[in-house]
Amino acid sequence: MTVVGATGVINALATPIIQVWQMSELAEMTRAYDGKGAVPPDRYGSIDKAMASARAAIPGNNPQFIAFPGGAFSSKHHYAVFFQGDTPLTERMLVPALIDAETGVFTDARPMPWYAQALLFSQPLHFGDYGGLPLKILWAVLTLFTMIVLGSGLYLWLGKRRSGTDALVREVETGGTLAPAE
Amino acid sequence: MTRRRGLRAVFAIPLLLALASIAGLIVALTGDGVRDAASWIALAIPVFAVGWAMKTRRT
Repeated sequence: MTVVGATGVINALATPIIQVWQMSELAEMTRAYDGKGAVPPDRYGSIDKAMASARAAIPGNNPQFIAFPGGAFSSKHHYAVFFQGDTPLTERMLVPALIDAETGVFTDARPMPWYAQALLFSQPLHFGDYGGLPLKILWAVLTLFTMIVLGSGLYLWLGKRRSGTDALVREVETGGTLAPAE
Repeated sequence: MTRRRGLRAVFAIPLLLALASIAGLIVALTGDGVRDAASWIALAIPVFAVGWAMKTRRT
């Protein structure tokens, strides 16, 4: 439950985290393009060419998704091809490769900073949707326990509010013969 | 019915359970195959602890 709560906070910060990444790292990687206007869609170059440049820059890894110019995950002039790592751990650590959207030329690629990595790890920890079926089943059982604790706690607390502590004390003293008034 | 047990004694086993669960969750992230199996065992520990606690109810 603690893990879900903590990762929930991190996940909720997703938008600011991406925005900070955009403003800092992404801006550094594309410094040469500062001041140029956004590339209009009719001048976008071929995606195949962009993908080929990206693969040449980062050989061997699988691309996970491509961000188009102007969106939250890229600058205004680049395709961003996000590569997964090749071990199960680094699978979630994406490395974006920026390709100029017009010419298909490789600009820069570097791993994302620690706060973005934290965001990428928070997602599976928050939803428990990894690790094979047994883990998902165990996760569901633990969730059920949490719900029972919450439900029974609420029930007890509401009951106590209605009848008060004195009534409970009376019930104990008389050996259970005087039930608390409803 | 006050029993004098220090705070540490009360929270010792729950802390172990918490550590086992967190370790299980993280290990499953780091790999497939045998690591998944290890994490299932680690995560089953708190589930069994709850089951045991429900069985041995003390008033």
